[in-house]
Amino acid sequence: MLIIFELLLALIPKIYYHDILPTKSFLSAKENTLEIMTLVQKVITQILTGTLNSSIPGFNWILASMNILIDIGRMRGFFTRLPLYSFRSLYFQGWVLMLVASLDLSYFISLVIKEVDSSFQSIGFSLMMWGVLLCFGVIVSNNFLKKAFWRVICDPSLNSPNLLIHRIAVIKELQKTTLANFDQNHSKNHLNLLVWKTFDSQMKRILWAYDIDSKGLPMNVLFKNLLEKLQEKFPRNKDIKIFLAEFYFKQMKVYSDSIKICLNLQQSRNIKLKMNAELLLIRIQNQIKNKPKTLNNSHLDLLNFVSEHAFLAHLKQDMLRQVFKSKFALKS
Amino acid sequence: MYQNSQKAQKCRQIILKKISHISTRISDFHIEPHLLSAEYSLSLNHSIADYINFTKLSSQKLKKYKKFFAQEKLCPENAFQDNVGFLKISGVKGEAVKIIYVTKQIENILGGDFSQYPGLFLLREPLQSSVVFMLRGGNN
Repeated sequence: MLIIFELLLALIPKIYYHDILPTKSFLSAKENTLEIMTLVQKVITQILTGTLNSSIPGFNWILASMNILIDIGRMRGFFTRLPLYSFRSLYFQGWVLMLVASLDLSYFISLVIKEVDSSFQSIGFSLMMWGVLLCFGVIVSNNFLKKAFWRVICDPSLNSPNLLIHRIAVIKELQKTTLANFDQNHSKNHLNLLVWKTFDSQMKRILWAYDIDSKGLPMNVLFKNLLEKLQEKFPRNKDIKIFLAEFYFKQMKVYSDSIKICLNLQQSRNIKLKMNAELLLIRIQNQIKNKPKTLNNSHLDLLNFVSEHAFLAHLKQDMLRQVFKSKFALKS
Repeated sequence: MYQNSQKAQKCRQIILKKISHISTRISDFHIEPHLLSAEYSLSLNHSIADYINFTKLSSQKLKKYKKFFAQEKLCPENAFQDNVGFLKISGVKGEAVKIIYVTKQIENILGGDFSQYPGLFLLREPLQSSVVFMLRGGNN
């Protein structure tokens, strides 16, 4: 009973109160699925150790096998679905996953060795194996992620909103890091040339699919258009809306559109979205408060602005008066 | 009839006087008064020459400030467009800050009900005095 109460107490904030928008902090929680899986794993372990007697034969095997099965499920979910972490945080999260998976695997292997040789009791060997497995795991994770990113760019049948948001993020990252200074005419590196050509053709295909004319558009506007098209494609998906709001605010510095989306999202019944919209509004507010001098630096005087509007309003009023008087004169 | 005609003529003189002062009283990038004057010259003042002059003037200015009008970021040059509004917020240190004045354009920019904005608590952190925010909406 206590375990279930503890599970509920931990699950409710994980489900309702997490910020999905990317921040600079690596440790900020962006995706709750993996955390919920870890929590469930912990609870199952607690239940097993509570109900089964640890002295019964095969108890360690049950625990080790269960941990490995959950690790496989978690890694599968992570590498195929790519949670909405920022591009670099995904690598970091992959390493963390490998850290846990390699620990579970080394425990499992030490159990196998112990089964073969019952006198084997070396903790040092287990730790060393954990280290080696971790190194392999990090390499495998990086390669899996690279492969996943290329699948995100190249797979035309992609239809998950999460992956389509990632597609934009991956293109942006590639554009910023690998391809920004790449000269296709003078490059001697064939691999880079191949990457550039693939990216270029895929980019053209994606833009064509979304009916976007990219000629002469800066990259930020292009990504904004892509996100807007994505929003049109999935009008009910609120995650895309909050990402678009964040993009307007962070990249384009168009606060008004961002505030408009946040105010709309605040009407939603979804507590998670409400909280995210609220957090984004606070970020916008802080940004505006920190940089309030955009107009003060230039020559627009607020008094002039208001007086010009007043002058125009008076002019319109006089014109209306003339129209009325002329009409009365004609009638009488 | 005579009295009303006299009043209409008086209004016309006032308007023409104001229009002649547009260039000195209005910023160079504020195009709306020129467009209004052109429309007035054509439909009320029946002066085709004035209409052509004002239209030419506004198209020249439109050409001159085209770059500023197209940009999404708010700047003095595009501050007089239809999609720019401003809201004034005020607060005392230690209390929540609330909106005290908004222009109609804010409704189009931020959505929601325009009449409910004044009095709405906006910021959680207190400011020391009143502040004016100007916002510019998107192209749509």
